[in-house]
Amino acid sequence: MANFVHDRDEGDLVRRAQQGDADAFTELYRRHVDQIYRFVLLRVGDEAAAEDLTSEVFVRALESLHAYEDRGAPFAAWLYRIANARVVDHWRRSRPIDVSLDSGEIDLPFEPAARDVFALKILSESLRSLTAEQQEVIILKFVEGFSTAEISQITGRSEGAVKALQRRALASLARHMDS
Amino acid sequence: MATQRPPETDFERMLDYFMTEIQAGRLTADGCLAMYPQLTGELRLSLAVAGSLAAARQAAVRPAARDALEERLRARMAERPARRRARRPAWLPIAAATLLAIVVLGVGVATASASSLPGDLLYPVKRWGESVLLQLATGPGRVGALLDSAQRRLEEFEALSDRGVVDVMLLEEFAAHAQDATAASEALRDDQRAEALHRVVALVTLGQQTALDTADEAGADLSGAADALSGLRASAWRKLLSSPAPESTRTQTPHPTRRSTRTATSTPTSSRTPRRTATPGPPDWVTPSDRPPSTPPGRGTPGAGLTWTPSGRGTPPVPQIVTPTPRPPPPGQGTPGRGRTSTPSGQGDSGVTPPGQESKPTKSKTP
Repeated sequence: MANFVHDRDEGDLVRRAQQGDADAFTELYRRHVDQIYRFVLLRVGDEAAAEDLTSEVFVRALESLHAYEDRGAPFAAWLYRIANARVVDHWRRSRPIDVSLDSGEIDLPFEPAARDVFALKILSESLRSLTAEQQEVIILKFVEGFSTAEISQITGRSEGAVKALQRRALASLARHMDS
Repeated sequence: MATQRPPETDFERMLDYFMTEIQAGRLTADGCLAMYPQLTGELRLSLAVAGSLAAARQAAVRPAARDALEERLRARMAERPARRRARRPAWLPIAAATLLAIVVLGVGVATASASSLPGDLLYPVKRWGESVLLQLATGPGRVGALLDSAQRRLEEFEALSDRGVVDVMLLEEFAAHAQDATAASEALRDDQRAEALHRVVALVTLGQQTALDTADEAGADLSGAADALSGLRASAWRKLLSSPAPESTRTQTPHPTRRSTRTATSTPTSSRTPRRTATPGPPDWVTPSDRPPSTPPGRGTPGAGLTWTPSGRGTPPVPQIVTPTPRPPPPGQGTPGRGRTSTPSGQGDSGVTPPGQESKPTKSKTP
């Protein structure tokens, strides 16, 4: 699951996909669809919405693939940026302004181990108390396991800014967990 | 728990280490916390968050949704190339390349024709381009275009006579352009007219000079042309002096080298050295009766412009185009042609020539 173990052939896949190779783009889709789905799911908390948004992310990626430039960052970083924009847009369109926090529970499409249920419930409430930027960093760090340098590439923020976001997010989560 | 690495002091590196182990399945967040009870603060909290998100780490798209999206993407990719082809017709690049080739070729021919001479393949192109410009130009632009054409005829005449070919027709055309410019200047504003007439005087003076030099060197009888040009210059001067602002025109000395024809045509190996001069100064103060004996009456009509014949002294007419055979330059004249890029006359700076010196041959330079 260590996603940023940089695949040497990923650059080739991207180039081939840019030239219209359907198989190459399909391979890229298969490699990254789950991590994009998780990223979206944890932030919107709804399986159907997460599937729709994941679909939007890859359709947009396909349409703007010609404009993608390989600047050394992994292809996944580009997908995460598209996903982040889709999530924010989704909130703007659908999120009710009055969200009651205590009703929030991530509707996960899997059966978590009983031990995790309590923690996850607390965390889902807590996650929603974070800002969008903090959520992004926490998910990339603690769900996907990216390093600070990698999160810096994905989010386009400096490593110092990523660390600061992470520290504030952890402090906010700690307050929620303690209360 | 395969690795029992001691935790490092740097928070980031420790956290990265734990997360790598957790992602690889070798450790769990809870296991880390149990293993290292001394961990406190942010790192402990981080591991707790990681532990609580352990279940989320297993989340994946439903296989049905995953396949449906893949189909959708493949369908989109299948229609993309077709759309792109429809937007750009296949013949477009060929048409663009052809157009570019035509433009490049046209510019190339026009540029190459600029230095062509009568008899050259591209000379008609050059003349055609000039005539187009003349038809389009009005006002000061037209006078300028006429004078440009006159200057080009003179350059061609000089270039051909350097090769030993004296083309009197070119001198005629030079004079015709200059006379047209004089006539066209009538319609201009006073200041523009004065400037145009100054240019006519300068250019015609240069033409006179060239005619005299060529007559000397090639042995051609061009005295008729020289006289006609002298008359043309006199009429331009009269117009200039009768213009409403004589003060301003008198202070501006006409300078025949302002646009020297020699710069364009002379080569370092040219054997010609200017020996005769025609003075650029105002000839008439100077009435036709004051004319020097070198221009006896009857040879051309001074002041009347172009009504001269190229043949001299009333002898039977000779063909207008005289083409003597090329001959080597006389000894002693082999100095590289510096010629007329400088003032053709030592008196040229004064702008005022004493009456009676007009068109009298004088030595301007010693070889």
